[in-house]
Amino acid sequence: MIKVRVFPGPFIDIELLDEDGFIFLSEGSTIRDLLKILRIPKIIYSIGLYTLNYNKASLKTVLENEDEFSFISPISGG
Amino acid sequence: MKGYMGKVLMVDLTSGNIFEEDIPDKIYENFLSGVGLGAYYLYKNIPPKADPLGPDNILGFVSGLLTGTGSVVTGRWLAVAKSPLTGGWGDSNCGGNLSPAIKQCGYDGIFFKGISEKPVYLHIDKNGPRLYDASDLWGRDAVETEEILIDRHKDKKKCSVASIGEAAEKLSLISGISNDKGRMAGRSGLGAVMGSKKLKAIVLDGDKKIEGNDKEEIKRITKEYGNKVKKASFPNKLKGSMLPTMSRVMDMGSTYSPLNGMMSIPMMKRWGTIFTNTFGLPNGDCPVKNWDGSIKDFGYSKYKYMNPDIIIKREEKKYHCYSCVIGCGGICNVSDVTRGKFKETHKPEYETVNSFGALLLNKDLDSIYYINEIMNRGTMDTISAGNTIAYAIECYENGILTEKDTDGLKLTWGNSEAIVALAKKMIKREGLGDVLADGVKKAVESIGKDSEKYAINAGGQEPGMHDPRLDPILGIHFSADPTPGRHTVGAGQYYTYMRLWEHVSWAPKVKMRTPKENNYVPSSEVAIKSVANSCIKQIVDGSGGCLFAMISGLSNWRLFDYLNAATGWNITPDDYMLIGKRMQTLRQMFNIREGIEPMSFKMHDRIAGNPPLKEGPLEGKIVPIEDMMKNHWEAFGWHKESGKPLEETIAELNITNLLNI
Repeated sequence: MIKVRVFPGPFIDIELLDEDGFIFLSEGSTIRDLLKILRIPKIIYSIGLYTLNYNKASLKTVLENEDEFSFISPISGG
Repeated sequence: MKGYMGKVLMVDLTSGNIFEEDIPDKIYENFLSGVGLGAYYLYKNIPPKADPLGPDNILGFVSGLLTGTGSVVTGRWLAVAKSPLTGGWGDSNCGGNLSPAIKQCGYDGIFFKGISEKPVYLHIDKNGPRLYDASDLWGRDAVETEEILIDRHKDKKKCSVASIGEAAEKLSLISGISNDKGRMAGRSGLGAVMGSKKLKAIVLDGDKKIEGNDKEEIKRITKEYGNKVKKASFPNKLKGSMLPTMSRVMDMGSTYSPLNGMMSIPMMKRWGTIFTNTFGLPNGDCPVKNWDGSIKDFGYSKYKYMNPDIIIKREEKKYHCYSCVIGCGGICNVSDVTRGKFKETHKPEYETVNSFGALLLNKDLDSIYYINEIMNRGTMDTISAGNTIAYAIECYENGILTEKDTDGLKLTWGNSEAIVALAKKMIKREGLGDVLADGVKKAVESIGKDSEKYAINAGGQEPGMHDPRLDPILGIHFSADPTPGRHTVGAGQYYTYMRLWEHVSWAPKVKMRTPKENNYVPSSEVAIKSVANSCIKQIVDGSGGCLFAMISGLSNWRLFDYLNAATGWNITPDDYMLIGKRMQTLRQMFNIREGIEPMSFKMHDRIAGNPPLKEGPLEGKIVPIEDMMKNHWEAFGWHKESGKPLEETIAELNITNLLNI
């Protein structure tokens, strides 16, 4: 198993994340697998509004232990 | 080598005397620089109950402790003075390139007292500070003034200029101070203080070195954050037109969870603040129709004209404030849309777009570009001006004002020609514009008590363009900060992003699946969050930091580590938060000394949901603001009912001793 930290957007099903945002996945899991598990809305999924360790990454990218996966989350500014 | 310069400059405009003052290390150790230094200096030197537009008021330009040390996103300066708009502590935060220029002249702050007989400007270079006659500049707008002064004092490097335009010269209480040809320290009416002193501009051309204690560590932190910002982007497939849908999706559900603030950066890099133009309407963040409407009144057929991609098409140049790695600024070509008068304008900020857009039901983006430039040149605050015009329109629509009062202007919702005309009149103080040039609270005194229900303000200052009925903790800061009505102090959303709990022992962690409704209930947890917001914002404003870096998360933009590297103090985040608490408490003490009852700063009933909106995303939302303010004060160690800092809190913070009062 690997442990990945997810910084969720306010739109995802986070029932599978623990209090610190971690999720356990089987080794070899890809970003696509993670997005499916988290039941991400398709608009986010298809546009690619996420980063892996602050880098762009394709859906096929294999996740590694301690990776940080973040969703774009705009904040209002002035 | 602790990041700060250790002295300030005082200019007495009545006598023409100019002198330096050393500031002891212990002041920086207890108040930082920036707003903390300003609060220390003004509390000590402004006599109680001074007339804000009289000779006893002191106007300061303060830099930040981290500015120029090699740290990034720490290039902001503040104007500080007793505010003529609120009658209490006034500060106003601004970017651009002025902040390092203050320190390069050898000072952490430049202060002015007295009133000059004739218009003057201050010039500082290697030969020291001197006052010059500015009679030839008086009456000119801020952009012209800056161009003339840069040309007049041309040297090897370009000097930095802050100046005022017509609104400030005419003592509009909602006027500000410009630098970099239109970046504005707009809040608190401090342009009027500068105008009252007959101080047209400051011109800074110093070459002093600014040094931090541990340059290598600063460099390491900068590199780490810079790399993250550089990589933070999203696919080009995301268009401005998709933002409303994204907003709706993100607003789904009844709970929220901690977020990664770094993920707010791509929006800022792509568009700057204007992504909120359309993102903020479906979720209720953008106020509409003088805070009494919703997306039902300003639907897609209207707000589509505010699509940030439309504005970006005009952006000819992106720019960064000093030491910024995000770069949300831009210059737009507007030669074909602003009646041909101006070639370019700063990319309008979201605050300006909404203040003159949805708030007035105005879909004419061209009018907003034009207003943006005339407000920048006239140095009038667009937030206050937009709110004030919204008030006037509502008065007109309800028969309180007539065409006789408006000199024939048909002040109906969305009438962009009338809005432009009234904005010009306000800058020039002509006709009804003269009444409105001092903001809504003063206007009520002339127009009548019946209009008070339309005069949206907190403690006399018109609120920023974010709705506390969506984010009640924002409402606490609108109401309980010593400078009320500002959207940049704190909000529940900011707290969730910056993840302060990873550093500060007493900051409550935002739990996964926190019910959104929790933020609408007065509780000690909400109060501690708002106190934490206030304290960290003081630290940011003492350091020259930018709100957007703070929101990107304190584990990313490592402010506490930066401060330790710059100063060598090696104290904990909890220690810094205590400094923030001291700074905030001193600002509140300033207000108490001026006779302000803190509850009088409570935001207008309408924006607390009294009565609640009947439709739209914020339908039925009520913010129990009085109880929230009281909890906030109590959590600060201030009196729960009166908001006055308790003697034991003042003693615990050692403020009396430090100020020698």
